[in-house]
Amino acid sequence: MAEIEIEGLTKSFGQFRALDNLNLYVEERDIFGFLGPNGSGKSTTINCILGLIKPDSGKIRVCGIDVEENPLEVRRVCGYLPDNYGFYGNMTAIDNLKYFSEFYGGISRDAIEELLALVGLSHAAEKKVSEFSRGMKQRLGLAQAILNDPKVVFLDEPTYGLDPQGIADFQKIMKDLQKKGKTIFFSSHILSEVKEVCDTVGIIYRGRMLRVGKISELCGSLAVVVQTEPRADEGLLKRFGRVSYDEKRDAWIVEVEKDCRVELSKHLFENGYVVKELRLKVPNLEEFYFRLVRENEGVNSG
Amino acid sequence: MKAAIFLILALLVPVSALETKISEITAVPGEEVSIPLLLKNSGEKEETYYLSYSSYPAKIEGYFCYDGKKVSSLELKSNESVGFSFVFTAPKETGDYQLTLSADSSVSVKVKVGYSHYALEVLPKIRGLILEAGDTAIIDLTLRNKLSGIYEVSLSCNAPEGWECHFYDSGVEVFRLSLSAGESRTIRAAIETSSSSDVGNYSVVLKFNEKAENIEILVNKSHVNEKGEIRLTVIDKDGKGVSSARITVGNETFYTSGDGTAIVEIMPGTYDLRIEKGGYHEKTIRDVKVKGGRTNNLGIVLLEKKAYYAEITMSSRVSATIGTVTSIPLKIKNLGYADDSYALSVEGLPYGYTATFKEGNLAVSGVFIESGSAKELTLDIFVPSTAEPSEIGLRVIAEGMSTAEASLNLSIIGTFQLTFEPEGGKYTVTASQGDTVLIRGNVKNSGIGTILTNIKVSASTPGDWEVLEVNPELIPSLRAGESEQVRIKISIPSDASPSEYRVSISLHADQTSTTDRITVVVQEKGYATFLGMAIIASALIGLYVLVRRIGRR
Amino acid sequence: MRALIVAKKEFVDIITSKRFMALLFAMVVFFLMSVLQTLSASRISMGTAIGFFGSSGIAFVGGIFGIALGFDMITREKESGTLRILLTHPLFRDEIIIGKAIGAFLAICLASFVTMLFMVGAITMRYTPSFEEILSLAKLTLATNAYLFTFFSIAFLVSAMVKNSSTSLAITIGIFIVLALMIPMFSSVIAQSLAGQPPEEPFDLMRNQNFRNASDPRWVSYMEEMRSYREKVQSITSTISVFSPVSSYTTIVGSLTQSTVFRTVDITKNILSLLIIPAVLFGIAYFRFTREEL
Repeated sequence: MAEIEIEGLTKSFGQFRALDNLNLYVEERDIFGFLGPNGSGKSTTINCILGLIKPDSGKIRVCGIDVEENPLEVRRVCGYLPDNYGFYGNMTAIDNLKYFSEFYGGISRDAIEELLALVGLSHAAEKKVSEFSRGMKQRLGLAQAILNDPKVVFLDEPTYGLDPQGIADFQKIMKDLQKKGKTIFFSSHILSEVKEVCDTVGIIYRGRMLRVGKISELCGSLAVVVQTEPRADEGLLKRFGRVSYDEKRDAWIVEVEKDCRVELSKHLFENGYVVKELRLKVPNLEEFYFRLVRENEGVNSG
Repeated sequence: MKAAIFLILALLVPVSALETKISEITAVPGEEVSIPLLLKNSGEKEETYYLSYSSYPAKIEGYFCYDGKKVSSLELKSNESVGFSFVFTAPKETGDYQLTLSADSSVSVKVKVGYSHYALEVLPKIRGLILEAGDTAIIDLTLRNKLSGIYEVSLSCNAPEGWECHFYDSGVEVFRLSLSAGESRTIRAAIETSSSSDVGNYSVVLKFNEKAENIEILVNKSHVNEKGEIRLTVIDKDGKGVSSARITVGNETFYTSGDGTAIVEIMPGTYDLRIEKGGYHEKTIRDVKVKGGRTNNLGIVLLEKKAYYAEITMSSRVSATIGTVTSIPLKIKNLGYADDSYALSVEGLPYGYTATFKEGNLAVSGVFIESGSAKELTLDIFVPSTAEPSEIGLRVIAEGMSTAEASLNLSIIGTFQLTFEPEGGKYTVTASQGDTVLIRGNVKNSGIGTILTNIKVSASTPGDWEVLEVNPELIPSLRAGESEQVRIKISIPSDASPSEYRVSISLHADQTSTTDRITVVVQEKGYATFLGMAIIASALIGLYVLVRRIGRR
Repeated sequence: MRALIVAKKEFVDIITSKRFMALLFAMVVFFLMSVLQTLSASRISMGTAIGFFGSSGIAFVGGIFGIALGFDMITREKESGTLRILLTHPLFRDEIIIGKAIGAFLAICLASFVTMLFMVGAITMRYTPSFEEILSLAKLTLATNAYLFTFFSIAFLVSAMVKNSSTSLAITIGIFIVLALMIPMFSSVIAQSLAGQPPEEPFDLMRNQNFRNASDPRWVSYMEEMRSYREKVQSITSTISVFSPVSSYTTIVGSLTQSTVFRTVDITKNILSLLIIPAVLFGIAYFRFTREEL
């Protein structure tokens, strides 16, 4: 039984069809990346899953709970960080979390403090949220999403506004949660992030699931694009993985297992090359994605 | 006795013969009768006969008359006879008389004195009359003396009650007539009917000596119970009507109008009219007849002005307050026709009082007033403060050629004043909300010389303050200078706002009243302030505690 | 019970906000001033003190209070996104709206109660009020409460219907002006225009005062018509006033000051209006909010 089961989900807002017979299954302990351009129906799908929007037709089950019958129960076992949200600015971080926790029966102050520590907000626990920066709010948002120790965590554009450190932290937390056995539903239109974190991706376009599957299955492996001044020696790069040359971009493509850019750059620098570009290439996910979208664009607009 | 002797002698001596052919003669009383006599001297010698007469039972006045001369003796020659007469007046008393005439011999004549019915002829021209009650019937009568001598007729009449008869001969009222022999005289009989006679037939008997003539009078209209009228006009010597002259008729008083005329309506009768007016001599008109329904117009009556006459016009009763000067206006009128000066004085003033006459603002002791004018003066009387309320009778006198007086009844009255004196002279009382305030004070009669009666004591308070007690509520009387204590209890409501309030104490006597005010300062209860603040504080504290407890940092 | 969680938070939010404190302060000051004014009169009477409260000044302040509390109650959450986050947690939309209403209501009750305590305290400083008088004050407090909550519910409804707070405030103030100022001002005019023309006075009778004879049939019928016309106007006016919370409030307050000598004005209509209006408005807001989708 999949953790999240969506069948035939349809939702229209007036004339606009937001979701068109959507089917989706997300397995337990999966970090599922939900990809799609803006307006493709990502947030709508999540809202339907959480019972925040009533679909026109379709069935949704989360952890075996029918969403239509038991929306509250669903929310009890889920955590959600929406794409635009806010906190009660006049309250402190702790007070905000405490408030939300009460809907679950309340959590001890210690637990809340732990949570804040987890998201890196210990120093700001007693601070009023109105004084928080964007990044701090985002962390707090993540904290409230996992406040209730949910089985499934829905994150909608969670790294929006975060600095690279924040993003990195975020991704670490994501992985930690997965280790704890949680399922993560990660909605984004930033392909790079998705590639970084997710196991499975699903591409939604105009309310329909175009493709679902593991990244490696769908779009190849990880690579680093290297551009140096002067052009680096291929041999230097070989130790990291398979090397190929992209003429169009005048850059080396190194297929890697993991992100080793740090070592790469160090290595290049040590060898006297100034790094012009050191880009991690999500294994063709973008291409895959764009191609897929373009294909369906024609279909849908036809 | 003498007569008897004479008779015998006469009989005894028939020498002379006194003869008369008349043995009986009838005469009307008062009538002059002449009896012809013949005396013959049948003797030889010349004789003097002494004439005498006597009458029985009463004296008859008469005399012997010869040749138109009164004689008392006659001298006759022998065989001479002389004719002479004895003239006498028939006595007034009717009856039979014996007249004995003597001249040596005597004769006696029977004189019958009386009224003979046949001697008089009366011809009333009118036998029956119709009149209104009160009218006078005028009947002309003709009386004819059928006798050959003077006939005296007494006139009288029998008339119903209230009626009157009068006989007039040539306008003069007569009650006895003397008709010469054969004389016819027309006289007038006036029969005055009474105005109170009822309608009906009446008979009036006119008597002429014994002769009665019946006149029938039919009264066809009665004025019974009707008043009659007297009209007159009173004028003075200048021909001007005298107004407001007082006319007293019987028990009633009338006054002339502005032009001096008066119309007096009064029940029928005969009255004396008395006409009076100040400045004029009084005039009385007697025996003014008033007949019901008829006017007796007296015409013009002259009233003579007095030379000197004054009158004082002034209030007869004046009140004067003790210790003050009271001004009394008076007017002196000179109603005489001569100017006069008058010395002014007041009689009857007790000690300590003063009286001053004032003309305008000037004090005078006398005034000069022209005839027909008047002067207005003021009499200022000062009542000393030591006086007591009383009644004083004064006389104000203006003495001139004529003296005028007026009586003045001076009521000496005191001043009325009522005062309230709070105890200790305190007009302000302080109390707290909900308290009972006791106001004590004296009610005093602060007037002079007077008593105040039925003094009612009351208190009026603001809004709904309650007057618990006023003791006493009524003081029956207080003499001047006396006072009595009163107690007034007032309750202040517990919700009265702390402020100054006025309580009015009213004293109301029969004669005067007064109101005084006491200020009551109400303070708030001491603890009230704290209680209030405590409540507010508790509200604030509670709010604070609440915010702190459930609030957040 | 989740609604109560929301209510508790709202309540705390309100009473710790500067807005609430300022409004409460304003209300207390206003009421105190009225009380102090009557205390300077020679006779303190609850009646005159209460009478001041019925003046439109108090009604104005109270209205502002209710509006200030409610105009951004929903829109604020929408604008700041807290609504979104709130809904991610297990509670229904209706629980949110009910909780907010309860929280606000309790805050209003607190404000009224505190104000009443202040009034009682101020009066007690001068004299001890009787039980009936305190009872009158309590009635006044209840009436004020209902009045504040009525205006709150108006603002609350608008807040639930529109997108942002500034629009909500603008609309709410507009409604307030109509209710608080215009309706009372124009109610008589409106009533007269609805009642139609007044009956015409018989002109010739108008001329001569002396002939306003009660026995003249024309005059009698005119008086009758005039009376019924006036009654009609009166009933329309009172009906209109039922719709104006201000009029209802002042009427109720006025009736509290009346002594038993006067005819007691029927204030049930007004009481009901102050109870029904907020209930109805809240019901509409409830429907609107719960039917809405994110």
